[in-house]
Amino acid sequence: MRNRGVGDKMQDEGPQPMPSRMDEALFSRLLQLAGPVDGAELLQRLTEDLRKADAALATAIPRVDLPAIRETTHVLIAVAGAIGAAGLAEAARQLNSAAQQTEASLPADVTALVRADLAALRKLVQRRADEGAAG
Amino acid sequence: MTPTDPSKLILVVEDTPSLQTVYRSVLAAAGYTAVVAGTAEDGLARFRALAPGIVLLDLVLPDRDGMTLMRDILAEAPATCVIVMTANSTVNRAVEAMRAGAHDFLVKPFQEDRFLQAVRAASDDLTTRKDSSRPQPRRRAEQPAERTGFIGSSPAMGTIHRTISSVARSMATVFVTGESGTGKELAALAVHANSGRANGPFIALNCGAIPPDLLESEVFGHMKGSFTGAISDKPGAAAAADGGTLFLDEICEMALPLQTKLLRFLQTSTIQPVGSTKPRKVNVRIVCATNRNPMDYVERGLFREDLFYRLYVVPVHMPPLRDRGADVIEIAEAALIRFAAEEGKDFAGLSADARALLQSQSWPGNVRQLLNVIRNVVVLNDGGQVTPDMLPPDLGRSLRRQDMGGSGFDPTPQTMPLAGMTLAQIERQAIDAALARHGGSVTLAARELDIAASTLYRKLESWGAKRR
Repeated sequence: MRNRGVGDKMQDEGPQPMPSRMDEALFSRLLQLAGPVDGAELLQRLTEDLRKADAALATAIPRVDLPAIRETTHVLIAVAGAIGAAGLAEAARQLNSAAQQTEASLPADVTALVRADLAALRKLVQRRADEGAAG
Repeated sequence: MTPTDPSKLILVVEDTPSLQTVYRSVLAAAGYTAVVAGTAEDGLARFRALAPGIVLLDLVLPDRDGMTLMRDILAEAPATCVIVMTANSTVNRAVEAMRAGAHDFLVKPFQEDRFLQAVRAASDDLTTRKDSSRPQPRRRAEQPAERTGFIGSSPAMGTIHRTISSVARSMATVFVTGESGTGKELAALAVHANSGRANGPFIALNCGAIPPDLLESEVFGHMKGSFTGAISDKPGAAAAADGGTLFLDEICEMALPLQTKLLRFLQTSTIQPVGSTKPRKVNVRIVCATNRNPMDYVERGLFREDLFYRLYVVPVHMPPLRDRGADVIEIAEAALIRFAAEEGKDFAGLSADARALLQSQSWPGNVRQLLNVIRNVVVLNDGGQVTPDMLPPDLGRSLRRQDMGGSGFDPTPQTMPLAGMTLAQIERQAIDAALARHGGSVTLAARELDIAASTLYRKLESWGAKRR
C-alpha cells in the first residue's frame, strides 16, 4: 500500500513521486527505533548508499557491465527491502537475476523501473532528512 | 546486561553503512550491544578484542569471503554463534555455511521479526550452554561424530558422520531422507546427541501414525475443554521439546492445514495450544524425516513449498544397506554379539559362507531386516559359528519372491526388487541404476530415462546426493 505521509513542506511543493509498494510505516518505525541521533545517521547513510547505487547503475546499465550491475543490485535488494521499498527491492532482484545470465540482454522495463524507483526513494529519503533537520 | 555478557554482545560484520545502522539500531532497541565492522579484517580484529558470543555476518564482504571469516572465527572460538546473512541469489552459500557450522542464516532483505528471532535463539543457546557449565560445548566441524551410534565404516556412512558432526552444533533444520529401515531416527538422535542441546529433551513424533485431527494437539498441545475428550491441559510435543530437539518423522504425511501452522511456528518460534488465546515462545531445534521423495510431494501439491524450503536446510540422505558394502558384515557381527549377550548364548562369529550370503542380498528392508535375520539366528540356535544353514531358510528365496513381485514375472532381474517398495523408492532405484550404467553421467542417464537432465539434477539434489 502506498503511504504518502510526507510533511507539509513537501506538500507545498506538489505531489512527489513515490517508490512503488513503499511501506512508509516500516521506514518510520526504523527511524523511530533508531532515535534522533542514529536516525539522522541512518538517513545520511541511506542518502549516500542510494546515491552510489544510482551512479553505479547509470554507468553500468548502458555498458551492460554485468558484474557491476550484479554488485549494485545486490546492495539495493538489501537496502531497499530493509526500509520498506518492496517494489524497488523486487525490481532490483529481477535485474540481478537477469545480470546472472552471461548472455543476458537487460530487460528494459525492469531497468527503467529500478532507475525510477531508486530516484523516487532517494527523494523520499531526502524529504525525511529535511524534515528531521527542520525539527 | 553488561557488555561482558557474550550472549548480549553482538558483532555485526556488514559493509553497507546504512544496513550497519539499521542492524545496530534494532539490536540496541531489543537490549543488545552491537559492535559494527565493515570489512572481514576489521571484523576479525574486533572479534579477537571483544570475544562476542554472537556474530552477524554478511557473506559478501569487500576484502574477503565471509565464509572463510566464519571458519576462522569458529576455529578460534568454536562456541560462537555465527548467523550468516545473504541475499536470495546466494542462498546456496547460506546452506553451505550452515553445513560449515553457522548457527542460523538470514535471507536479505532484513525482516525485523526474523532477525530478532535468530538473535534471540542464539542468545538463548549461549545462555543454556553456560547454565549447563559445559566447558567446550561446540566441537570443530572437522571432528568425526563421536556419538552418532551408527555401525559401519563405508564411505557412504563416512559422509553421514561428517555431515552430522558439522550440522549438530548449529540451529539448522535437518531433513533426513532414506528408505525404511536405514536409520533415520538414529540420525536424528545423533544430531541431538552431538548438539549443545544434548542435555535437553529429544521428542519424536510420527506424523504418519497420529490421526490427522489429533496431530495439531499432539504437536502444539491443547487446553482443557477445547474439544471433546480434552479433559485436562496437555503440553504438545513442541513445548515438551523446549530447549531440545523435536523430531518429526514421516513429515510428508502431515496434513496441509497443519503444515501452515508448522510453518508459522518455524517463523515465529511461538506455539499456541488448541483452545488457548495465549501464545508462548519456545526454543526448539527441528529435525524431520521421510522415506518419501519430498520434492514429489511438493510438485504434487501435497507439501507446502515454502515449508519444504524452510525445513530442507541441511539434507541428510541415509544410504540403503545395499550401497554400504562391508557395513552389512560389521552390522551383522555387532548385532550377533549384542543379541547373543541378551539371550545368554555364545556365538563365534560368522563363517565365510554366511558372510558371503549376507553380503549378496539386496536387503530391501535395510538394517532393520538384517537385524531381524540375526535375531532369528540367535533365538533359534544354541551358539557356535554362524553358517548359512543357520540363516533363515527363506532368506534368499523371500528376496527372490519379492524380486518377482509375486507374479512370476520379473521385468528386470537382479536390479528391481519391486514388491513392498514405494513408487518413490522404485524411481530412486531406477535412477541409481541408470547412473551406475553410465558411470555417473547425469546427461546420459537422463537420456536413457527420457527425462530432462535438469529434472534428474533436481531429484538428486532433493535426495541430498552429490552431483556427479
